[in-house]
Amino acid sequence: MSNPVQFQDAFASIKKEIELENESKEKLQELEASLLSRIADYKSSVNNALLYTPVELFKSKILLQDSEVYEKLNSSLKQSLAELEEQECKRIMKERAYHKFMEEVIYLFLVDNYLQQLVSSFKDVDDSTSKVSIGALANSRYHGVGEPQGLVLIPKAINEEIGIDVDYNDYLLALLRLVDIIVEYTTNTIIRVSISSSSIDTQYVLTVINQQLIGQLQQGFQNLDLKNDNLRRKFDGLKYSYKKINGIVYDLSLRNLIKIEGDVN
Amino acid sequence: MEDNIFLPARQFLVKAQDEREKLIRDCRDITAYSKKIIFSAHRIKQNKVDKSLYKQIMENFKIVSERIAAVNEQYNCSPQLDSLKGSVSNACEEMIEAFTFIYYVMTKKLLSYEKLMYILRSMIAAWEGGILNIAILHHALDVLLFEVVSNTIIALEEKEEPGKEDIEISIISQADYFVGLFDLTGEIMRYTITNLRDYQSEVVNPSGFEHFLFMKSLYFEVSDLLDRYPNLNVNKGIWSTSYNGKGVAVLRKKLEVFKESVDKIEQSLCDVLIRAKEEIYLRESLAERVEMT
Repeated sequence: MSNPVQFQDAFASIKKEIELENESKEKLQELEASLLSRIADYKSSVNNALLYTPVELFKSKILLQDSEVYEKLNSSLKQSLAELEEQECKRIMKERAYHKFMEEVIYLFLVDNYLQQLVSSFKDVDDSTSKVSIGALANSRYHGVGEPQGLVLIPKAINEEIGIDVDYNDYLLALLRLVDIIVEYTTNTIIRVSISSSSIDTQYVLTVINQQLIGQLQQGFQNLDLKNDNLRRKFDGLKYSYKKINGIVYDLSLRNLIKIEGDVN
Repeated sequence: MEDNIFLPARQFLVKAQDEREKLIRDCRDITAYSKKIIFSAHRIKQNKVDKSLYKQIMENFKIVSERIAAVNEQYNCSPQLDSLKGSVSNACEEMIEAFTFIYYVMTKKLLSYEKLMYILRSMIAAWEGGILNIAILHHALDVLLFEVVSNTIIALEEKEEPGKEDIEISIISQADYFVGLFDLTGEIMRYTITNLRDYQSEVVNPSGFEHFLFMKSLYFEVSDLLDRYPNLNVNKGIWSTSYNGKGVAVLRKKLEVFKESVDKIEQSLCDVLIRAKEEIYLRESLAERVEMT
């Protein structure tokens, strides 16, 4: 005869586990939200900067330039990661939260660095400039001091910055998001340059620079053997970004609007 | 660009993919050999396991334990749990089904989560360092089949309790165990209906009623749990009570199938009991007629 008591014990412990897991899930969600809110200021300053052309950015000093702010941000990031590490819950839950957070952080680093590099390269651009040449890769992150080194921050630079090795999966996902943003930024810049009478037309060269950069990234991505996952799906969108920016360059050059040479090396 | 970003990334991705492929292969083995254990369990009559059946079960148990040890080790140190958990969970559910079922057939009891974990720990301990310690495996199988380790098929001196060191098992959670219980009920239904009549004595097998009671009370507890947590669902081995359409529907469907199994047993038991009465009546009246002539 079956004994109902044995079920009661088993189910009592199941109920307990459900409650416990709910509790730790809630705590983790709270922590996740607080981590994301900690980088919200940084995110908003980067997003705001995306609304301006490189020359405007240089003149208005909207982008972060202060090394102290960067230091603060870094220590806040390190603290956030330590808090996440200490959180008591299943490893798989923690891991999900970690990757989500890291992808966001890497993405912000990449966009920030990209814009900093553009500002630095376009600061001397005027109607008499004949060529804009920009480095493709940055080996270390710009801190508000010195000069940025290139458009795309490499993983090693991020590792050194936050003291942990970033997951390539997170990095590549963030990189693909950067590509989307670059296309968006290109169209936005063209609009702003076109409608403003005081703008410097030579900024149209940004499209050529971005086209070359995305082309190089696409070539790089072709080195990867991707399987059917999130990364693969995002990568599939890359060709459309490239197509879009090629179209923009074609349209501009057809009308002879790109007057100076651009080069990414 | 290639040297700084994409070539190291490529190496990283290829390594992660290879690990995942190996894990999926191991998981397929766990599923396949667990199914074989289920078939062996269906062959058990009147809680008796003879030497040849024990040998059969042991062969499959050995392979399952080897793969489980490999999967657990790989899973414990993997940085990509999220992409692995699905495959691992499916394999583990099948294994939980096999173990709870064979335990039920032998003892008429539900294998508790704690005991399941003890058996798993023993199985993994038996493969420590990649070398099989068959004595520990005999011990684990004895706990699973007979609850006790003395007076079984294998002599006591050929068995060994696993060491006390803590083995981290992250591949199975209580939520996986719970989902595995639904599959267990399907097997119990099949087993009950196959063995409803005792063909030797030609009467209704009394254990049919025990199975029926077991299923009924388990159904009561499971449906009670789902009533208490109407949005309960299991996502990658984690309990969740926040609404998730697909996940909730999966558990509801499983509960429905469980109910169908209970109904099937009930109906068959009822039919067989009525007919048995008729047979007794027929036999008696036939005997009377023989006497009269």
